[in-house]
Amino acid sequence: MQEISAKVTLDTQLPIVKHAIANYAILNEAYDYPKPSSFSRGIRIQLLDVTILLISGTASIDEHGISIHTGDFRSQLGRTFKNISGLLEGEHASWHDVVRTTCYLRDIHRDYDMFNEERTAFYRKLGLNPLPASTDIESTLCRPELLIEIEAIAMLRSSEQ
Amino acid sequence: MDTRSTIPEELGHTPIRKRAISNAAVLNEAYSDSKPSSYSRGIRIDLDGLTILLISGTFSGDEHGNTVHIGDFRGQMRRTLENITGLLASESCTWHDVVRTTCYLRDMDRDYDAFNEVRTAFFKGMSLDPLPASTGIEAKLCRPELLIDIEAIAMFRTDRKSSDGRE
Repeated sequence: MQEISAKVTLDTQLPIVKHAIANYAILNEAYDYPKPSSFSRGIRIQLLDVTILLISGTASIDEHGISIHTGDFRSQLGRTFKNISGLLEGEHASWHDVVRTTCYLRDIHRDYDMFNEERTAFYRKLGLNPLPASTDIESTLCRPELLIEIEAIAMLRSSEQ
Repeated sequence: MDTRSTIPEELGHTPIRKRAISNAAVLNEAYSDSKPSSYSRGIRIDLDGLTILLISGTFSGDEHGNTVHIGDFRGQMRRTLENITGLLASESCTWHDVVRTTCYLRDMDRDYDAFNEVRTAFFKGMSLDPLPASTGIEAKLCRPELLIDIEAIAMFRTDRKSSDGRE
């Protein structure tokens, strides 16, 4: 923490150490679309030895940018989890490092029971403890066929090996 | 776009210190409902003298998991604020430590005036200064009878230094 105090006394402001998160094997880049959408799939922020991963709203999209499992809520949720897993793994993190999610359902009254069943099964299989904090709400998403979208925050420590 | 080189690849990764937040006296656990919902009411993160509380979307539910104040926006709003107060208190902090909220109203056009009146009265009663940053938007919530849901971020120090680093 002394390092921060020392920097505050300088007249210069320096950018934080950060980079975009990607995993091309499972998910394309949103800014590669014919109609580009200018966001990163996630951002990694490095604050001394604390790493924060801000994962963008992630949905059932494949490595070519195509929506998959149209009309199938459970499969869309499965692919969404898989995509987030891939983004976390790209930064040597896992769901065990996720501290918070926000889950946007296209039709929460129709799909929330299925959502809870699938999420509980997925987290139980991973043995997540503690469970992440979360807010679950209904929202119309960026493509009309998308039924679920999840954003996440992960935090972990990076130590010298 | 490639700033990857600024983060050494050889860094090892270890879990952060974190645990679930709960307050069974004011609200139940979402994963103990008959249809479990797998999230914690909040997460506490400890970073070398700095604590961050991430409070989940919180609503007018009671200690048995039942929705209370159905059809009563102000009643739901007060219970929601009390539930968050209880979660904060379980970690020995208060609304004075809250830096941000996101407030989801089921019917913004109808209820925003009532929302503002109740929130202003609640924050004034505690003399909150500064007021938290906040976003208030409309959303359908996880139970059809819910009219308001609030999530929050609180931060405080657990050592004797003030936030500007002085002892």
